[in-house]
Amino acid sequence: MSALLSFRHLRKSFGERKLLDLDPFVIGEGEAYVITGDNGSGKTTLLRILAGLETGEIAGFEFHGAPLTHGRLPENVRHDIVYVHQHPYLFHTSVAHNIGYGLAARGVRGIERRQLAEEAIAWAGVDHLRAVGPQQLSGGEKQRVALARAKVLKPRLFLLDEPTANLDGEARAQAIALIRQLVRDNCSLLIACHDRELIELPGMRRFHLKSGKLSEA
Amino acid sequence: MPFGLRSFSRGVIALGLAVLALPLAAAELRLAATHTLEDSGLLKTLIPAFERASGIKVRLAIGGTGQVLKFAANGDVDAVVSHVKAQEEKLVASDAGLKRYAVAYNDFLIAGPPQDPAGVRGMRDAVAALRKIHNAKVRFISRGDESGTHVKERELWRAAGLQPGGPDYLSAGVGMGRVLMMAGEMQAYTLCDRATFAAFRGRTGLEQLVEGDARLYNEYAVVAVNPARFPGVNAADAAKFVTWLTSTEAQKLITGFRIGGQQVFFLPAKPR
Amino acid sequence: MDILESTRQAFALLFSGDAELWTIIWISLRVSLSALALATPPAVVLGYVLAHQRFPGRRLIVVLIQGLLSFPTVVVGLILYILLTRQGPLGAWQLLFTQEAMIMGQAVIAFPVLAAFALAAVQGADPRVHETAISLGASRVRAALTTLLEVRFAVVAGVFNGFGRVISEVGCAMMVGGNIAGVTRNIPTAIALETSKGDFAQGIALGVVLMLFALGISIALGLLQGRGGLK
Repeated sequence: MSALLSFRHLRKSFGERKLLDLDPFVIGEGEAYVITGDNGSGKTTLLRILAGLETGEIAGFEFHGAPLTHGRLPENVRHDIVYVHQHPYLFHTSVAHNIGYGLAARGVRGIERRQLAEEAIAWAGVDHLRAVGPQQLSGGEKQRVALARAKVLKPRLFLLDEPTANLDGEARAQAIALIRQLVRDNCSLLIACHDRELIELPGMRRFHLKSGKLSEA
Repeated sequence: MPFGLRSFSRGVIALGLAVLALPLAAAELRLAATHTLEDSGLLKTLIPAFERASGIKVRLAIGGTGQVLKFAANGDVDAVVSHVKAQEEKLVASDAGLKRYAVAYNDFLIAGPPQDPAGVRGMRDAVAALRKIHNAKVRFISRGDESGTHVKERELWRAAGLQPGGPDYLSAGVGMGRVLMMAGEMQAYTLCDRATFAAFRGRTGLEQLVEGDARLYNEYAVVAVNPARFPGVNAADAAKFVTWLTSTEAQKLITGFRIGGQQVFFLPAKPR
Repeated sequence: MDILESTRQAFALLFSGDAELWTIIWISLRVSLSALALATPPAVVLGYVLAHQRFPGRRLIVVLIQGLLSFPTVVVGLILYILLTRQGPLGAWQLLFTQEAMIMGQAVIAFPVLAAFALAAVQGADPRVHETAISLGASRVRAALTTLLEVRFAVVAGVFNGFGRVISEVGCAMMVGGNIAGVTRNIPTAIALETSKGDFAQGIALGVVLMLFALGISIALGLLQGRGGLK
């Protein structure tokens, strides 16, 4: 297993309170990890720091072999790591446009973009919603679109924040099915969640965040 | 305590009544006058002198000729001073005004850029000068606002047999002072009364090029509003104002008024 | 009564297609819309930058913008006049008493309104917008455009507000335009002239047009709020 992302330590404090105080950690290429922990344990913060959305005290941060200084992730790394919010934000355009957004941002044009977007739309099973705007989507549909929006970019690392937390029944099953696909396709995933079914997916490594420390379960 | 409170509240009531009574107690003359008189600065001399002599406070509204005459025609002012004889006579004929009294006169002149591209410098014939300006296709700025100046300008164009227009004839709806500034900026010609021109001398870079034509005569007159038509009008103070304005004291101020050492207002041949 | 008669004449003038009247309306629209087109892009950029970046002097600029919101337009006209007059620093451009000068003045007047609304709009944006855009690989510029698109209703509300402020302002237009018929006479300066002439009919006609504009803006804003929510 080659290392995709690693750090020597990672610390984050809010004022007096030390939220995260992580020891050396490695995310392997093609590996899927679930991080469990109580609410407020810092799962989301950890993901956001790795996504470059928040700052933290990190030493020895390496991504795909190349060392990085922290702060904001440079553009080439941002292309390789995609973070999906717990409540994903869909732009007020259409499902199709949302899914194609990242491709457009990377300068992928015309036929190639349309093809890739079509594949992702089919993958998420949202073809019948392609022209619909976010106001008319259910929570589950939004989550699927967000996953497709991330997947279409073929990132090296997915950071999924509580992907099924607000879903139940059919919606939850569909989201889990998509994530199961990602795992099967050997995507590198880091998922913060409580969901029993996700935790127990085959191939999933499980970590627990408590009192600022990560431990493998 | 109760005693103090009672006399305090009585004092407050008395003060309140006194404040309310103030506007009723002070005599006020509502006067309207045209821009030209204001721009020349004559009113700044005359009004305070009248207030001192009569003890009457003057509330002065400045506006375009049409506007101030409209005020008088509606009875919104007590007296009006302007310089379009025909309009003033109409005011009297329509019964809105009592009587027209000529107060002062001066003349108009044609001002223009020092280079004088139309070549009208020194001409005494204003009508011919306008014709030359028109044919030379140089910029001319008109007041365009039915003011005394504008009315006079239209008369001259008519006498010249010309319909002014075209890209070089600018109709600017602003006061005389502003039109002079504009003419200075654009190096254009314009018709202006002597007093305003003198007041703005040096600021515009324009020179007086054509003057002395009898047709450039500019007479100012005062008309008091008719109390029979408009009962709310302050006829008593208006009458005092008219009397004062045609008195020797006012006449001395008018003829003694100087701009840059020059006399710019004269007494009409028949003062009454 | 005089007023009723004037109003009746006013409507007759409007609907008869009176050339002079419609020239005034056209000049008003041309000048104000040009001013908005000129001022909106830089104002929106400034609003965005102020909402997103911390830099020394930022708070001062925000305070300045909000102070300029009610800056007297006649003072803007005065300052512009001093700049454009023949002896002034920009005198060589000979812009005084032209529509271009009016456009400049109105652009300056509209700018703080546009910037303040853009700033509020971006500050009110969901923080996830920017995060999502960045996370999907958008450059800072693209992320900015995406954010602005997401809050476009609030930004457009600023444009309508700016339009309202300049379409009816008279102080600056008079100073730098000079109210020249057919050239720099717009609705508010024409109304000023008509009242100075004592001619109410034309003044009322133009006043009605201005009120219709104001009403149109109000309706448009109301529609926007219905569609976009109070975002």
